Amino acid sequence: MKMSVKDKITATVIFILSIAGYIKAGEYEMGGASTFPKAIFMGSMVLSVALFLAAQFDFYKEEKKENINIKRIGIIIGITIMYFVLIDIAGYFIVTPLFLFSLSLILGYKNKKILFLYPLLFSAFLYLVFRSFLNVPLPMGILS
Amino acid sequence: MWGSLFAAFSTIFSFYGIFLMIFGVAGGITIGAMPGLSATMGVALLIPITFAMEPAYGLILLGSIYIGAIYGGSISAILIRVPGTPASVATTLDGYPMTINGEADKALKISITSSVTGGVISALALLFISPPLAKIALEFGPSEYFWVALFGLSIIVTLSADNPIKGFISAALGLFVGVIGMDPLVGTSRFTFGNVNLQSGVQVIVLLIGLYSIPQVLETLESGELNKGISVMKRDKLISPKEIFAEIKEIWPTYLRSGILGTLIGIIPGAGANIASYVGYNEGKRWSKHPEKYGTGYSEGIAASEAANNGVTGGSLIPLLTLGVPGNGVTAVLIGGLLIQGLNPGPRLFAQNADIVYSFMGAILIGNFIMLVLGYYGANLFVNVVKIPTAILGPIIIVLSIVGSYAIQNSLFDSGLMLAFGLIGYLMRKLNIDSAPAVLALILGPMAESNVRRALLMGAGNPIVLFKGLINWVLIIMIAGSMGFAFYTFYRDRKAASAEK
Repeated sequence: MKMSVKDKITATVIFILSIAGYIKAGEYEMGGASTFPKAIFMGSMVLSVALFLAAQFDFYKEEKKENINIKRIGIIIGITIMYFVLIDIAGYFIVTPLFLFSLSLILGYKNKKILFLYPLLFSAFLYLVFRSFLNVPLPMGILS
Repeated sequence: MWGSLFAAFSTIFSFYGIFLMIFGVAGGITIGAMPGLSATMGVALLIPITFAMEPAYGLILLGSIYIGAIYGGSISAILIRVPGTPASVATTLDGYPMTINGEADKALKISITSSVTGGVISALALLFISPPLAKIALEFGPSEYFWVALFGLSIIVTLSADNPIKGFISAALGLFVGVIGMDPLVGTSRFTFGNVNLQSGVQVIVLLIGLYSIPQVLETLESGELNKGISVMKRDKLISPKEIFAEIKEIWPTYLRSGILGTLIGIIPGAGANIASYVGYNEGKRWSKHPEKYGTGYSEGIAASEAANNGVTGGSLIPLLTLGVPGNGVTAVLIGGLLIQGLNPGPRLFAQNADIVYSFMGAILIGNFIMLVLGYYGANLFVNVVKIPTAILGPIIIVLSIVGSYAIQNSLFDSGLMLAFGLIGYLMRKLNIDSAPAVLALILGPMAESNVRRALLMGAGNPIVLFKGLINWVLIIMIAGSMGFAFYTFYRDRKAASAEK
């Protein structure tokens, strides 16, 4: 997709969100709490129009194209979100090594010894740092 | 000042203080040497480690990581021609040709000595300029602070983006995130949508980890070449301290010039280490006796860019400590660290927490000498980190980001928010929208809002109060100047581009 098309879509999304934000900000009239958010959303509306016009009239110099490897990115994001959801249910200690192992495997890492060892060692190391050194209890899920 | 400084030395030179400086500098160099891990990301990822520490020690660690990371980028720039951080791009110009010529050892040693020179110059500037500047800043009222915040926003947005419209859009995102939570003056909940986790607002660190680490990891992982480490060229000709000393004797003016230039550039919000290294390199070439040697593997070229980028470290902390204004991504993260420790960056910090501020500034100075030892003898060890395959490094960074953002308030909500910002940051990269203005706006937005409202309250609602006094006008002129300059360069570039077409 050309950058100018992407910019037009972005500008439209920002414009719609800014209108919604501006209306929502109207709820905070008391004590002048709405003035600053309203100013931000008005500014955003102006900026989105400027972005749209700049894309329409090819106003700025050619920008580098950024293509997304949708399949690979989709898998990485999917696994990461699954890790985030499961950490609360099953606990840090079960999910973290599994996450590290599976993501490295999917990404094509092949050294089996390291693939099995590093998730366990790193998870244990991080747990020790946070639990003992920083006194931050990590979510233990079903192990608690 | 001297009393506070000597008191701070007892903290810095304690066993724990020295341990933290060695750990921080070594960790910083490691992060800096890894291509793809920027200094900002390193400090953001390691900030949770400091939560449980006393503020002075936490800041000693963060300062050490900062200086180490800016230097570390030069190691991979010299040995594998991949700058570890963007601040070392100019170092590749002469660093890698030296490696090809079999002079890698000399290049690494010129790099560490010039980095330390720049670092020490800027640390001294920090120590001696900040206290008197803080005294002046104590005179600032709400209206002056409003203009300071606006100046920070204007210069950052315009300098950090090729495209000012996109820069402003990024800043608008940061400003919006900044208004989430309780209103600073009357306590109204804004944009919390009934969620109690958002009542106290979005933590700066959450946004930072999200915007700086997740997009970088996603981009690296999607690009292929996943399970291959990079091979490192062997150094062949070792060089003695005597030879290095003789070399430095030849090119010392470059060390000093770039160090001073870097410090000055560091003080300007928005400029930063990337710009400094280029300016240092160009000026080095302009003043050199042998400008024709630049780019062919000339040690002076390395010194010119490395002294400048490390000069930025101390310089960029001057507006941070005296005004509470972050000049670049790393200092924005440091503000997040200060806030979590319950410290409000700004001139009052010098009066209320002198011991902590001086420990921090002192650690930046002493940390440079620790860096000299570590870098001089260990540069070839640190470069091994580039051999870690991205298929392992990427997942580790994702785990660190999730656990680190959780640790801020023991809340998985923050981890989720961090991931959401990470995805937004990834999209922003694909749309060529720089994320730095968003982060800085998150800090400067609330500063601008609370101060303008306070000023208006004091002036009984009359906006004229914002335009009273000399300092206000100086700041307004500076804002107009920076915006004018930015739009002029944008217009000039566009004209040049259309002429090319």
